[in-house]
Amino acid sequence: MTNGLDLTLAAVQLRRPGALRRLLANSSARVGLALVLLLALTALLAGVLAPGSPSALGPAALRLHPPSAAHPLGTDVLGRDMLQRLVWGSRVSLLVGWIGVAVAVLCGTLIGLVAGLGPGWLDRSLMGVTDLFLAFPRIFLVLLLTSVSAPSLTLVMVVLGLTGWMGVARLVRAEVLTLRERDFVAAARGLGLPPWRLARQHLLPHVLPVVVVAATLRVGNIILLESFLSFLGLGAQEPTVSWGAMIEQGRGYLLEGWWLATFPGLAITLTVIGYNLLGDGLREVLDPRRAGGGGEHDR
Amino acid sequence: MLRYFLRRLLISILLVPALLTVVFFVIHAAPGDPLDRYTDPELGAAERAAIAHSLGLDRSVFEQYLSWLGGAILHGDLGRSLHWHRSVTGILAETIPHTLLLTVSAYLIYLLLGVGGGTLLARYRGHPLERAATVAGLTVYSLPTFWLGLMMILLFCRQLGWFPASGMHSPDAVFLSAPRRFLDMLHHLVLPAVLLGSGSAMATARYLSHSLTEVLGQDYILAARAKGLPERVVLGRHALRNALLPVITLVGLSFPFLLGGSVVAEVIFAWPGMGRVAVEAIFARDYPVIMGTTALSATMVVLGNLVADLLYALADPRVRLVGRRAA
Repeated sequence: MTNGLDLTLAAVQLRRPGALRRLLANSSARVGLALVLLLALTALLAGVLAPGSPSALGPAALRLHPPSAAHPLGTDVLGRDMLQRLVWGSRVSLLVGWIGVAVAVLCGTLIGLVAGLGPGWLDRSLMGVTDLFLAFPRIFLVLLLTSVSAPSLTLVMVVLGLTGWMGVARLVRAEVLTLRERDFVAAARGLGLPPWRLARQHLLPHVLPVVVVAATLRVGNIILLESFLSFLGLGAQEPTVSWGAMIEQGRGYLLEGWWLATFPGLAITLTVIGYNLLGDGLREVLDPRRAGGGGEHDR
Repeated sequence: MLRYFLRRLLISILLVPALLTVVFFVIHAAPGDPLDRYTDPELGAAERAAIAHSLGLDRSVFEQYLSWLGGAILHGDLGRSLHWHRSVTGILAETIPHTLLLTVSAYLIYLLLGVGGGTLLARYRGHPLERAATVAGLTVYSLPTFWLGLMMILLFCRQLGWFPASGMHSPDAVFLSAPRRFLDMLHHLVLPAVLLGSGSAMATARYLSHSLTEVLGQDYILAARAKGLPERVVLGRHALRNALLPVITLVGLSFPFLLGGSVVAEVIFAWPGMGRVAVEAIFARDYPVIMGTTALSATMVVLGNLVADLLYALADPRVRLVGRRAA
């Protein structure tokens, strides 16, 4: 009996009618979704919203102008419009956030599935590797790995992905361990399904909601790390505009040009708040057991 | 209990060398020769080879690894810095107290804000105050720490002039009497410690308040209230003790974040600690210092996790029987 029920549930909680409605009923999720969409549109339409090159030098007379009607967020040391640069900078944050998370979630899901389904020794050694990575401040690993070669965005995305899979791996493994004991998995096994088909057809749909939530909640962290790397000069390089590098450029003008460092930081904060709110909302809808706690440390 | 403890200890002892091995080969696999950075490009091949030989850089990576590991384990010798021309142990001995001072101060702020804030949040569940605090917590959690540090400098140092913006002592500190020098140091400590302590505290406060609310819904709390116990006793003696269980693990797990966060705080406030040295060493390709800071911070983090695990086992009798399953 549970078998039939399970199979119906397995028809993906994501596609359950009303999931979106329930998400939109949650006010913080609404705010989060709005912020995330706004940002995605800004990044996509940067060329329309803020035409012209964001890195071309501005007129000398326009250096370090405070916010005004013509330049709502002021101009930087090179006379460039801050608003235009912020709009273009959203591209880097989103690109790194999304691709970094994609790498992390792919690795994490794969490792979690293999650990949960595989023999005991494989599970133990994979979880050992996970502990190894978790035992170390991520920022050290990230700095070490990004400094091994010339700074580039690709490197940043790969490194942030490869140092961020552990939480996902643990979540997925824990989920698989409980699913493994359920009747429908036993039935599928009894039918002689090979492990990879079991994983793909019967486990993955159940694990997917957890993964979607974990992924959304991790975008923010990756954006934060990217901005710190760019701030240190290890991320995006000129002429690519990134918010972290903009903060670095404003660091020397904290008092004379407070708007230089302030606005990019606000942009990062709003973005990260957006993803965190959306992630929390998604968790309440898709993964109610874990909802509510803010304790998901995976920085 | 003893077996559980020994198993944890063994795993912890094995984790550190495993991590060091990985880091060693990763940094040595990186393209670029550290000699390029530290020698005159005009130097003849023979001189270059001589310098490489004297630093042991002409040996295979594997040999270098064995000799590094041997020196570290047998003599506690972590080699010499290529960049600062000093022994790595000397650099670490000088900087680690600074980092510990910063981290421990931040930890106190973190505990105060985390446990105090979490209890308050649970107490005022449903109150507008709770909602405001949740929003504030989420905002702080979503702030880039390095930017928050810059904003603190902008406000408290440049604008208001309340605190110094960098370093650990004022330039004239050497002329001050010992107690005044200590006060001067505390003055420098405030901003970096607050920066480091407040970020994770918000997450812990949220987590604790959630766990407290869960506990407050249990039957034995109802029983305690029915007995007519004052709310303070119900909250403090009956609820908090149980709600703190998951938080103990979180506190232990927070150690790597605090240590990692100290990198940011030290870089922004020019605090002369290990994190700043580590960042400079990474930029300078100073292999021995990178390995040294890695070894030390990994040991500290592993010890922190071990202590948290033990505290958890001591606090929760159930763990002693079954061992810790997948978290």
